[in-house]
Amino acid sequence: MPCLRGISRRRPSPVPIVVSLLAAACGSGPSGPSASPTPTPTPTPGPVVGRYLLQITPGPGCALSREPLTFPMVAAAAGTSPHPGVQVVLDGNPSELEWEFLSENFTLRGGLGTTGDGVLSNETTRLWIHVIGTGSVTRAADGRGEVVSGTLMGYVALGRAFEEEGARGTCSARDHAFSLRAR
Amino acid sequence: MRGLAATAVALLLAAPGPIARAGSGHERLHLRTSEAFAPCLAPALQAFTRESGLGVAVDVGDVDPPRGADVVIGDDSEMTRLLEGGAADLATSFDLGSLPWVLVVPAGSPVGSLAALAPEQVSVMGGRASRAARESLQAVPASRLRVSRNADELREARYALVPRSLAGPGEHRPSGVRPLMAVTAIVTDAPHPDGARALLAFLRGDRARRLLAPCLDPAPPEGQARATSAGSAAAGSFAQSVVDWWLPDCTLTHNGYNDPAKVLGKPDAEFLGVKDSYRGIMSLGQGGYVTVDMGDTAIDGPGADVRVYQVTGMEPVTLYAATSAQGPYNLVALREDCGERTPGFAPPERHCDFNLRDAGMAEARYFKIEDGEIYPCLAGGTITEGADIDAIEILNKKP
Repeated sequence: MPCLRGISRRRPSPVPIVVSLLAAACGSGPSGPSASPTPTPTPTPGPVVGRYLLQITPGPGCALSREPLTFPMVAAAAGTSPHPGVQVVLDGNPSELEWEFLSENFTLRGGLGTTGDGVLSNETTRLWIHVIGTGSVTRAADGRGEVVSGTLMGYVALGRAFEEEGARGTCSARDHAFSLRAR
Repeated sequence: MRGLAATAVALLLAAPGPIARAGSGHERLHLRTSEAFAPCLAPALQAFTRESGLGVAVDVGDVDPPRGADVVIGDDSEMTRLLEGGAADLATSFDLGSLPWVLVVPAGSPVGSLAALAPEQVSVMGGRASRAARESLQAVPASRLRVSRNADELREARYALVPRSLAGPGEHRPSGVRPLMAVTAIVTDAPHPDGARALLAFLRGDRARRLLAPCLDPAPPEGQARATSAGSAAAGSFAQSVVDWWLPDCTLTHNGYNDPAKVLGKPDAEFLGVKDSYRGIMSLGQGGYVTVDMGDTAIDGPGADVRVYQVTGMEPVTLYAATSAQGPYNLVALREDCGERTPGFAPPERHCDFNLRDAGMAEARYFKIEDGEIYPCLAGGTITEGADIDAIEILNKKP
């Protein structure tokens, strides 16, 4: 199984601790005793589980509102084979907004989608979305894992609560942004 | 659903015929179709009624769900879930013809994009079938965009991107948006199955095709026996082994076609004639993927370099390419609609083509094929959620 599998570009800049963890996980890190001072160990992030706030911001090149949209989500581990997964769904209406992640090496990657009805955000804007998201997992204040800054590639359309899909704009891009913060 | 999508407009095209006489005396066939195709159908349906004596009422709106219709006619993108989920009978489906999108501008307007030309609002047809059209207008600020499913409103727009059937006065210019493809099928629990079969038999005939021709461009002939004409498949270079794969746990639980080995070798997918019954495919579920080793190396050559075979609908596919199994995998195309009809293959075989140049690559041997439909697994109503991959072929092989 390849390590650091996935697209080679547009990967968000990981924080240094994640880089070192990824390198170690791939077996490409330094070996043998080191003369340099031992760095203060940073606690590894815990699992992505429990309640989260998902924030989505359309890409900078999109001609639609770039006001972030937020959604209350719930995350849980979802399978281990052929790779470990995490399922993150809208709190209360899981099939309206569902994210299925592959979770390895402190990176989440997977597809986020809505049905043809879209999903209403906390800001009362309706969102239709079909994207692949990637983000590095870091440690939240309570020890769980979270994504502070991630990237979404794909289709985003906006409308008001009872409008047609895309009435407030449509944009396919490779640089929409998201965060998935513990709450 | 919102707005006009929920508003079905019933058009009575003919008086009750034999079905009505055999039944309650007030029944007639119900055909459900979308706004774009409704204006194209009247001449053919009136001829059908004259010949058969069967009345047809046309409901206009989203074709999914069919809302009690006997027959549905919708774009590929609108029919995918209906056909894969079994609400419409895949065995009865066929293409009626394609309908190009056109740019509508005042006569004599200078050359240029709609975004640049329109000093005012730009109208575009809404609905599931319009996603590609709306994406093509994503440079137009949302405040200047009018998304509508009202045929009269669209015909009155001075600047618009609409299917040709909904274009009003003004100059009609070609658009780069993928034409709509009118696909018809009998609804599985059609109230009048005999009448529905009679209507589809009529629509398959030459007379109906002539009556549809002023509105729909002819559909390419359907493939016959694949062995006789699938030249590229006979001599092609196809995926040889699976390097890696992943399906979400939800997909593994709900889908029925999870074996990654089914994407190897030549295209061999088959619909077995019964709902949800296929052979030779891997359904990628919600954002799943399969990575393959082609054995041979694809090069950036003339035309497309790589073809992905996908069945039934036009579910989008994302493709990445690499020169080694460990990667890095470069993005070739994002969420490419995968619904081109494949010459020499019987339906429901489809395909989509890719060019290595789009990834800035001169060659590649390993390909990662990822679902681009990305439909919520928990909302899925089929066991074939996601793109349904049959095979991967190198079209430009390194000598």
